Amino acid sequence: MRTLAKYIFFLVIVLGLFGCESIIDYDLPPSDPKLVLNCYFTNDSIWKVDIFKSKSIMESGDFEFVPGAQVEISNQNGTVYPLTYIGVGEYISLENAIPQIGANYTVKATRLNFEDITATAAMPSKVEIISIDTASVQNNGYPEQESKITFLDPANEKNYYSLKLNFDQVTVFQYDSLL
Amino acid sequence: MKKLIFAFIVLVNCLNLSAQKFTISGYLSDGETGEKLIGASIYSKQTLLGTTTNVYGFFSLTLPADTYNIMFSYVGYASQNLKINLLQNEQINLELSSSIQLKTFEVTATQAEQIQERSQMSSIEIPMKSVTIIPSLLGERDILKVIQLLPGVQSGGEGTSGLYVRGGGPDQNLILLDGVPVYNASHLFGFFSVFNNDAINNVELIKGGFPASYGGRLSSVIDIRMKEGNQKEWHGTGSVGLVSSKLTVEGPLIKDKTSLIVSGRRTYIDLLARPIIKQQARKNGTDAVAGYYFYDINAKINHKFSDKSRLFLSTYIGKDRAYATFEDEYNYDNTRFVSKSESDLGWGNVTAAMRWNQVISKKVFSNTTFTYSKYQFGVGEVLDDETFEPDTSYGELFEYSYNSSIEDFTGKIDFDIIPNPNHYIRVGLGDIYHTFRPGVNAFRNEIGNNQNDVDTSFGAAKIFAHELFAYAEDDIKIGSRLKVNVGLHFSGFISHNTSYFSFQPRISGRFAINDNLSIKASYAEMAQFIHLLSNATIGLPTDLWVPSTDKVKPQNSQQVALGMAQTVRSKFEISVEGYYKTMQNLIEYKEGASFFSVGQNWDNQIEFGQGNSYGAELLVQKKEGKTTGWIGYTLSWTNREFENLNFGNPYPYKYDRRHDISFVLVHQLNENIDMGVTWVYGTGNAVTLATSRFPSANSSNKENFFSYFQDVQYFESRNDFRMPSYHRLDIGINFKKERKWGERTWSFGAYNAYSRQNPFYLFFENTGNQTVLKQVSLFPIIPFATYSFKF
Repeated sequence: MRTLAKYIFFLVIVLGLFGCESIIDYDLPPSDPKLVLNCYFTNDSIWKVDIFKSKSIMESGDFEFVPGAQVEISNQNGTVYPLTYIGVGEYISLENAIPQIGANYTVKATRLNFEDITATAAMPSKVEIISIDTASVQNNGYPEQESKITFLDPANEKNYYSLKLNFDQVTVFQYDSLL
Repeated sequence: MKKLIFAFIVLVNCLNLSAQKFTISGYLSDGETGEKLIGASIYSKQTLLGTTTNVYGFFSLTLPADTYNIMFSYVGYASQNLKINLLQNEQINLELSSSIQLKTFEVTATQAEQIQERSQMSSIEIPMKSVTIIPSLLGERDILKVIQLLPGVQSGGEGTSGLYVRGGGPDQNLILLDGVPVYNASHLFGFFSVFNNDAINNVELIKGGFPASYGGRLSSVIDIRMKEGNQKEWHGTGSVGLVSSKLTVEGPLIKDKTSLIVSGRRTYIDLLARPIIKQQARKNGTDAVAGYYFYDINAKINHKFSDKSRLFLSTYIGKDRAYATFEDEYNYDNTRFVSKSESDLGWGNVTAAMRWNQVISKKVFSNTTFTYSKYQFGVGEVLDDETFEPDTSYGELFEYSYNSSIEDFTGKIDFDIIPNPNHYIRVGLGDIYHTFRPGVNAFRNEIGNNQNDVDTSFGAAKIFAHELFAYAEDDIKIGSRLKVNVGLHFSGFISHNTSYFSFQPRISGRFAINDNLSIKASYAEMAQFIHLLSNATIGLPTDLWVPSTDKVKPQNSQQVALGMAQTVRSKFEISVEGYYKTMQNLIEYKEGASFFSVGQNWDNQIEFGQGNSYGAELLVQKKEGKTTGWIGYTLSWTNREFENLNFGNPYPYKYDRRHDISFVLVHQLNENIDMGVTWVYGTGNAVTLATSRFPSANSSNKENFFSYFQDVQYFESRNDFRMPSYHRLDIGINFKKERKWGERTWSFGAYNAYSRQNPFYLFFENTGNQTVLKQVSLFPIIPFATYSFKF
C-alpha cells in the first residue's frame, strides 16, 4: 500500500503549496490529572507496576511518578498481595509473589486526590512449541538460513502471536499475527 | 399489492368517465436550440387549471370543451398565449424564445409554476444560467458546488464537492445523470465534481418529501439532465482554464429529428509538468515520468421517430489517474544494476443509458430505460530489480494491485398518466442488478528461482444482488386550495444469502392560504441497500461501496417536514422549512479498522448505529431580472449514536453545523458584462481532539529504550471540539464580446477573496516547552482566469 501512501503524500505536498499553518486557541475542558497504571506480568518475575500522573494534552515535559499510592493485587480466590513503592514510579511485591498462568488478577490503586483505578487481566498459557527445523538453502547463489517453527494454537480462542528470533550476532525478527 | 393496483385502475377509470373533455398535449422546447424545457408551466387563467412539463418536456392538460387562453411560460423565456378552441384533442409542440434573445421586447416577469403552487417541498431547481456566472475554485464551474450553496446542504472539507444533506452522509445522495446513478462524483480527491456543466440542461435537488418515484438513498436526490443537443444547427462551446480545457459540440444529425451532443474535458497539468519532472530527475540520474490527470466525456444522441416516439442514448466516461515511473541504472565492478518502479492509481465511472419515450395516448406518457453504471478504483505497483553480471543475470519482480468496483445493470419502465388537471399519476417498476467487488488484492513475486515465486490474489468475493422497485404516486388537486402528492415506493434487495423488502409511504401537500402564500407538509420514508465504507475525511477514491448482507442491514430513514412558501411581489420566492429526520443502520468502521485491512471479512469491521438531524432552513430567491440570486440560512443539529463507539453515548456528526449561511448574487451590468459574488459562513466542523496524555505500557518497559518515551493520547469524547468557523467570499466577472465567429468570454475572479484562513485540519505541535494547537488552512486567495467561447 506504499503506492497509495505515496499519492496521499503527493497530494499533501501539492496542497502544502497552498496550505499555511496558524496557531489557534484550544479551550480544554477542565479535567484533573488521572492515575495511570502500567503493568506487565509474567510467571518468571515478581509483581511490579508503574504509576504515573496523566498530563493535559497541552502540557509538555516528562510524566511525573506517583509515590504514596496504595496498590494491591488480588486473585480470584481473594488472596491479596500488597505492593510497595521503591522509587521511579515502581511498586513491587516485597513478598516476592509471582503471577500464575491462567489466574485472574485484579490490580487496584488508590491515592489521595485521585480517582481509584482498577483493572483485571490474566496470563495466557504458554505456547507449546512442537518442533523447530532449520536448514541451509541457496538463494541466487547466496546462502540463507531457513527456520520452520511449529507450535500448537488453541483451537477455540483467538490469540496474537509475536515471534522473536535471537541469533548469535544477528538482529531480532518480530512478526505479529492473529490466529 | 394486487388490491392496490386494482384500486388504482378503478381510480384512473373513474377519472376518465367524465364526458366531453379534450386534451391538449405536446412538448415545449427552446426555440433556438430545440432543447426541451423541464418544469415549464401550461396554464388557463379563466379556469385556474394548469400543468407542468415533465423531465422530457412533455405535458398533457385535459379540460372541458370550451375556448381557452392558454399561457405557456418558463423562467427566462418569453411567455406565449394561445387561444384554443378546444373541440377535439389538440397536439401542440411549442417553442419558446429565450428572453435574453428578445432584446427589443419588453419581457415581463414570466413564471413557471410558482413555488407556493407545488405540492412538492424541500426541492430546489438549480438555475443553470447562474451556474456559469457564480465564481468557483480555479474557475472550474461545478454544479455540485452550487448545490452546496443551498440551505440544508453542507460541503465537507475546504474546496471539496462532497454533499451532506440534512445530516446525511455523502453516500446517501442519489446522484442521477440522465437517470443513471453515479457512484463517485469526484475528480482530484473531491476538489472537482465529475459533471461538466456545459452538457447539463437541468438540475433538481430534493432534500425531503421525496416523490415515490425516487428511492434507494436516504438523504437527497440530485437529478441531473443532460442537454439533448441543438436540433436546429451546429454550435460549440468551450473554455481554456487553469485546471482544464473543455469543448462541447452539438447539433442536428438530421434537422429537427436527430441531434447529437458531445462534451469533453481534460486537465493538462501533467503534460506541462512532464518535461520539468523529467529534467529534474535526470539531474539525479533517474529517468522519471510522473503526473496526474482527469478527463470526462459526455455524449448523447436524441432521435425523434415521430411526435410520439423518441429515443435517447447517452453516456458518460470519466477517469482520474495518477502515475509515476522511475528507472535507475548504475554500474559497479563490472555489474550493471537496473531498478524500475511503476505506480498507478486510478478511478472512474462509466455510465450509459438508453431511453425510449413513447406518448401512448394524449394522457399517457411512457419512458423505458436501460442503464449501466460502473465505478472502479485501482491502485498498483510494480518493482523490478535486475542485476547483470558479466556471465549471468538475475532479478526480482514484485507486483501488487488492489481493485474494487461496483457495477449496475438497470431496466425500468415509468408511466406519466394525466387523466385531468386534478391528477398527475406516475407509476413504474424496475430492477437493478448489482455486482460488488469490495476489494481484491493481487500479489506476484518472482525471485529468480521458481521455488519461491508467489502469484496470488485474495480479498472479498464478488457479491451479486438484485434491487427491485415499484412505485405509484398521484399529485392530486382537491379544490382550489389543497394539493397533495400521495405515493408508495416498494423496494426489495435480494442477494445469495439474504433478502430485504421495504414499503415506503410518501406524502406531501400544500394548502394555499392565498394566491401567493401556502403551507406545506411532508413525510417520507426511505431505504438504502448499499453502503459506503469510508474512513477518510476527504473524498478519497478508496471509499468502498458494499451491499447489505445478512449482518449488514439496510439503512432506513424517516423524515417529516413542515414549511411555508411565498412569492412576494412576483419577484422573490421565500420558503421556510423545518424538518426532523431519523436514520437507522448507519455504518462506521470499527475503531482502528481501515480499508487496508478490509479483506474477506469487511462486514466484521464495521459498527452499526443510528442518527438524527433536525433544523430549519430559509431560502429567499430571486430568479428574474438583472439581479438574481439567493440567500440561504440553515439552523441544524445532527447526531450519531453507536453502541460501540464513544462508549455508546450520542455524539455530534462531523458535519453537524449549527449555522450555515450562503449568499449568492448574480448581476448583469450590461449586455456584455455580468458578475457573481458568493459568501458562505458555516459553524466549524466537529473534530475529535485529545484532552490528555499518559505514558504507554511500553514506557514502563524501560529495557526497551526506543519505546520509553511513547505517549498515549486520551480522547474524552468523539467530535467534542469545534474547529474555527468557516467563511469565504468568492467574486467573479465575465466580459463577453461578439466576434465574427461567435462569442468569446473572459472570466476573472478570485476564490476566498479576503484570504480567510479556514481550518482544513488541526494538530498538536510540541514547541520545546509548550504544546500548541495548530490549524492547517488550504487555500488563501486563489485568483483565476478562464477564456471561453461559443460558436
